[in-house]
Amino acid sequence: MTPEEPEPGPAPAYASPFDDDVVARAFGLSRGSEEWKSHVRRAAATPMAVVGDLELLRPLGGNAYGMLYAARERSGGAALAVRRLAVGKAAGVAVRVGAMDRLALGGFVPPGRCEMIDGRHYLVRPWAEGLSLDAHADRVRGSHPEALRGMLAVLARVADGVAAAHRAGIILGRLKPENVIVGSDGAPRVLDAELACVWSEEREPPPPPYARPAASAGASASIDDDLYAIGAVLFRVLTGSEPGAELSGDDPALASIADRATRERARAIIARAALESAGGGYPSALALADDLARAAREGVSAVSGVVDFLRRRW
Amino acid sequence: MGTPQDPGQARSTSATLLKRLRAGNDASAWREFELAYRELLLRFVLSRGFQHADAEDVVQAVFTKLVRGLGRFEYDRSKGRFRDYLYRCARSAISDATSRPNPAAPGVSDSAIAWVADERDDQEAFEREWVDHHYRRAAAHVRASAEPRTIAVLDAVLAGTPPAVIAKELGMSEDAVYKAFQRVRDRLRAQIARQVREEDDDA
Repeated sequence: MTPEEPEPGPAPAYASPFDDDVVARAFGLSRGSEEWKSHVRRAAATPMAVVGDLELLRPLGGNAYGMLYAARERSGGAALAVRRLAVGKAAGVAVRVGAMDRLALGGFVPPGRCEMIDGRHYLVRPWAEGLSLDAHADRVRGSHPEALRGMLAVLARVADGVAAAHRAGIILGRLKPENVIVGSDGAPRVLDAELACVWSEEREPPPPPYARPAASAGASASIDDDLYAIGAVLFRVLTGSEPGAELSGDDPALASIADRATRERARAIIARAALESAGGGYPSALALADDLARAAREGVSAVSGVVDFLRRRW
Repeated sequence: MGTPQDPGQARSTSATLLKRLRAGNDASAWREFELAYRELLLRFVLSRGFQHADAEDVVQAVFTKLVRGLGRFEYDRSKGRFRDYLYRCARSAISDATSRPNPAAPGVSDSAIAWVADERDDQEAFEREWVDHHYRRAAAHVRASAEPRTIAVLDAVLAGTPPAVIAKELGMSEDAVYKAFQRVRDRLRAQIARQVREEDDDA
């Protein structure tokens, strides 16, 4: 196929001498050349590295426990997420992965399995299809009034999952929007809970802004850490902004929530999530989940939207 | 951490990113920089004969060098392109890794030990990886934004399917298949041009 006949229309964006030189020669994109097709094929098909039965496709990011990769099983072709565990971290992770796997918590991505390949430890789990919660929120926020309601409902399900973890004696300690995947069915699932647990056990202070200041300062892990994190995640998904160093229901960024009823409910939920449970905060993740679910059912009202509009107008 | 983000979505130019990184304490700038360049660096180091785990360590060393060097570094395109700077950091990190006192220590493969300072060979390898890097980003961008049918045409053409068969399978005319193919090729070309321009844009 050589579809290279002259094309009418405006000059393309690559027509400057610099672009012409670089794009046309280095990239095999000269008119009449078919070389670019082999570039596209190769770029798409070549795994970055092969480790045992795993093809590592691209890095996704890393933390103290090692770099995470999008990967594929060579023998079966299954899509995977693979983390090469950092030296000294494998033993703790293996124990926690086994424990989490036995619990089979709903609302959590299964932890997968630890493997030793070529003398190195890898944590291998099925690929979790979907968008991270922050990306999901950025996509739907402002699209229609029901979108806010949907985000509150998603957070309620996350809080339900966290409540189940608490009942099993697990404190996550490091919940953040990037670690929640929203599938095409709208259901959220928490990623890497096993790593969060090991992290908490090692008493490494979690970083702000999703960690409560006391935890970042070295306080021991408690359910308050997760309740605070859910409040901070709620702030992020509703406003599109990162929460400040100290979560507050009076944060000016909350004024950006257009629907008044949702805004006021969000303020109240965030303010309470920021408090310690012994000091007027939520007594449990379940109580927080109930409040979020109620706000999702009642928070967005067309009437309050109209009232807001009229107030701004007059 | 497990966000399957699309590397093609990184938006800042390298110069802008470098400015943000130099300003310090900008975690999102680091994430963006890492997202944009870690794969390129890993692939380059792997192409020099390192095992995967060793390559990760070398790339981490490249990022460390970048952090240390950024305080002194002023981006000036007249003195070189951004990718030349990245290449020099990578080559220096490889050189450090292979010239350790005990190169036979665990973590450094024989092939990496055999790495010789062939500047020309390294530079060509880096250039190849850089081209592929831009193709990957551009293809991800085009795939995310083009019509599903246009992508189906592209995939079929890349798989070597004749236009007449594509037209029949997708319920299009052959002329429409040619046009869809041209469209996606032009978008790819424009996107790569944009990426390259942004990479060296010091405005």
